[in-house]
Amino acid sequence: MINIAKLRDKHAIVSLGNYQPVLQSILDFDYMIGRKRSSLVAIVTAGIHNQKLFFGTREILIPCAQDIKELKDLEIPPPDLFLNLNSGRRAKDSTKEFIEAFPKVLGGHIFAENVPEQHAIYLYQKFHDKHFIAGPSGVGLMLPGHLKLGAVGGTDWRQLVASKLYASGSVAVLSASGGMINELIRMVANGGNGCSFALTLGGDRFPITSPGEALLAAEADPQTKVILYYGELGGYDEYDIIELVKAGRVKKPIIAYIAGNVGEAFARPVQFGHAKALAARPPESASAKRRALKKAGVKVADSIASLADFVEALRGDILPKMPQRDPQQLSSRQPGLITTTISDEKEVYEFVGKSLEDWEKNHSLVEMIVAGLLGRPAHSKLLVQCSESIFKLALDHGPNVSGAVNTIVTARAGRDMVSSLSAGLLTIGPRYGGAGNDAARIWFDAVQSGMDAKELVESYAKNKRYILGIGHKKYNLSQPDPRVTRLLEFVKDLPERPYTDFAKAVVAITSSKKSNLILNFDGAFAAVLLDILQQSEKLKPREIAQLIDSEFFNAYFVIPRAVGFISHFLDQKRLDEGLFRLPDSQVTVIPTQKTD
Amino acid sequence: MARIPISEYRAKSLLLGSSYRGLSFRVKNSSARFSKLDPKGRYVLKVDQGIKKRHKQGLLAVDINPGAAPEYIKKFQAKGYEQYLIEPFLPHAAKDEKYLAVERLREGLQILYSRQGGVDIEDTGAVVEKVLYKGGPGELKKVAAALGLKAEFLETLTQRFNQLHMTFVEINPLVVQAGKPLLLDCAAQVDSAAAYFTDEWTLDDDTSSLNLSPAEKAVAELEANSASSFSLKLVNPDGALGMLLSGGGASVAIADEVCNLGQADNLLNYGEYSGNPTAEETKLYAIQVLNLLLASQAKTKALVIAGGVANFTDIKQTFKGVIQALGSKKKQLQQQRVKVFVRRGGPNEVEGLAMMRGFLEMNDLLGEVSGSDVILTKAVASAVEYVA
Repeated sequence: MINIAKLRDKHAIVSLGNYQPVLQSILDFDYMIGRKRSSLVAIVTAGIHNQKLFFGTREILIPCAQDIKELKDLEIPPPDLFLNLNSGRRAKDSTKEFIEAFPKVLGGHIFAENVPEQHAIYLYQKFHDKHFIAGPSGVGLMLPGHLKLGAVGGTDWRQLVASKLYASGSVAVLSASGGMINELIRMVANGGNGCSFALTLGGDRFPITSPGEALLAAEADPQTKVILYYGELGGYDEYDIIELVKAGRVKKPIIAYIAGNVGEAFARPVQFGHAKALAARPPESASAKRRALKKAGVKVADSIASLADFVEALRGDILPKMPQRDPQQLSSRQPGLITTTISDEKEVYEFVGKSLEDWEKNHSLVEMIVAGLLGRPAHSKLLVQCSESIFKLALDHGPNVSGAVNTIVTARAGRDMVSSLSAGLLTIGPRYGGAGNDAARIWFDAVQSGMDAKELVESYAKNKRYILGIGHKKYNLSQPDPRVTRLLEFVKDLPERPYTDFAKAVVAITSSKKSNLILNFDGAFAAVLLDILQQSEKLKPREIAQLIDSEFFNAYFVIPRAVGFISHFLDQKRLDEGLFRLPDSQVTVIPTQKTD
Repeated sequence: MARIPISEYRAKSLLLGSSYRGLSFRVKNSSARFSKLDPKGRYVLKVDQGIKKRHKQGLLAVDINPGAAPEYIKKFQAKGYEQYLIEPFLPHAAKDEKYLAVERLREGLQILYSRQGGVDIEDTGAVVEKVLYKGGPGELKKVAAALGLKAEFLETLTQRFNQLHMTFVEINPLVVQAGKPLLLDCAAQVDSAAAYFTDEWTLDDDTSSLNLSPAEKAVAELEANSASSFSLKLVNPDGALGMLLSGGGASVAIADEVCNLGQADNLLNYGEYSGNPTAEETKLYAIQVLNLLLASQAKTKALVIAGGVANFTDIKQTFKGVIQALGSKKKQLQQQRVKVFVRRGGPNEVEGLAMMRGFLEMNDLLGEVSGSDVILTKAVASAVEYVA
């Protein structure tokens, strides 16, 4: 059942599927009626984490979830409504999954055509007692001045203005057809009145909200004074309306048009535009329904022109008289070429929400770096302290390692600082310096999937792959890596440390096979950071997964090591030994096999 | 699409399974099919492409042996039919003929039944009773008892009806001999939206596609290959009013206006495009309508391009396609003094209408161009004035 009055203050919409023209029109509507925030709170769509849309002339990001389950991880207000833009095949299952995940939702709209009849009936039987669903098919529900759920009213903001959808009136418009509802809304606006609400039932055989239920909703809505009903040939739903009128359950005056007397120009029953629009049996014809409605006292128009005359006679007030914000501004908006949340230079230079002055006066460099990496200031001292240690411990690991060698060789070839630094940085990859992020992924995936350490070790052994984050050239069980020992101290007071515990459990197995298969620096900082991010920074698994996907953990190597490489570069310039060349004794030559 | 009719052969095969003894064929594979028949057996030959009242139209050959079939087929073929069914003839008494129909309603399956069936059921004043079946056992028992059947038959029938996403089945007559049901004639519809969820029938089983004109067929193909919607129905090939309409609902209201103005006989076609088609798709669709209009023998002809205030169909884009189609038939349209009457609203309405007006003016095809500020049916009224 729909409770229209309730919908006037509940409007947090989740869209299942991403169809930008429709979603943008919802934000344009919100802007025009003076709402502070978008009523669209999230989108379920694969592949992106945010969808950029205009709110007025400014662009905002609407958070996206990969699936309905992931919606629970987003920081959004509890949804009141859904807008299901999935295909007809997916409509039933996705609607069911959503309502079961958010049982407090009031209802929503299914946009798709081609939803099987039995699926629509299933949704009707399962949900219509407690929730309303507009559709399948059609364009949704409009409460002028309050709610736009779907394409209803148009997708171009100029249409919203022309139909005065910023203002509400007293005519409830109910229509089987999505195109016609727009036409009727405009007809009402041109007649000087406004709509209390406009609902498309959808052109399918079994609309989940039946015309009868929609009529009862209009009867119960205190703002509605008149009901404008647009139906078509096909089906028997109009006979339910007649029953409601006869029983006195709907007392407000009804104006109706039943389209499809053209159907009687054909020798055989014809399928018209909507699935429902086929009059196979005589009572389903437009003229039979018109006659029956007239007999019950409904004001039935015989043509669109006479319908317009009826509507024009419905003088009434609309409020407000003007949009709350000037919609004309929208005509000049342009999307930004890049989007950023990190910094701004409009008045003062800002970095992650604070002015540079503030950073300089009140915060350490490491705090500032961590804020830059997370895209927000750290909540915990622990993360800052641990980051500082990692930066220090990773700054330089001696001159023999690949990155330092390349920096040194390039500097001695007479190249400049940026070239020499780049030569060093470009060496970082899967075998050198890039293991921290991969190690983080291994610990994270294993802990999230509930795998135990033994399973992990066996699966890697079976596939003949190394577990990144484990194994050291120099250190072993009897001579542990002091840097690792130091890092593990950071998490010793955390109430839980699933990632560090897991990493330790893994090395307990591997080191018993070979004593140098111990937790190395990469594996240790990855595990420790994961625990701190989850426990102290309260990041959700989804947010941590996103950090891993964007190589967050590699920054903990690249940042300090860039300093190390620059140190090597400056050192080489001071020493100035000239071009480096390998002596012959350092090169092993294996002669090419001659074939003759 | 929605409820689509399937052939009698397909309906019976789906409901009866391997126990069904009928054969479906087209003229080109008829001899191969006939070799499976008993040359001395008695058979019924039927045109099987969703045509109603075949008995009255003489599209049946009852109690023949296979040797007589080719002559009948020749006769049917001359009338334009191509799909047939041949099945064993079942002799029975008129009193054994019953009526049974099932239709899907919101609340359950509506079962219509009568103790007296037969092709003349509408004229004989037979009492048809109604039962709403919601899954309980009582309802089916009541129908079975009335028809002299076992309830199992109805249980299986309704179960298959749901499994197969059927929407309507009419068995008339249903012959009941010693408690055994025989489906003499059977018409069925399935829910086209459910084609994905079954592998027992496909959209190719839609018999309505067999009865299409070439233009209708071309549009059906366009519809099958597009994410948008297209439909076309020829009403009167010599009608003066060609309709290029958009919107599943608005198109009906606009076509209604032709009838309201007493011009139903002048209606060339009904049809609609919607769901934001591309310019190219719209062009292909418009060309089919233009071909029909140009072939019509009416003296004065008009094209009505009309639709409601679209929610998301881009007017500029779709009109670009319409203009390309008009451009490709420009000379013939001018020669036949066709005028074009437009009423349309929606996204990019102003740009789309200006483009259309410019084109029609330049090519002397302009009847009238208006937007969402005039009433939906205005273009029809003006076009009717022009042709009448």
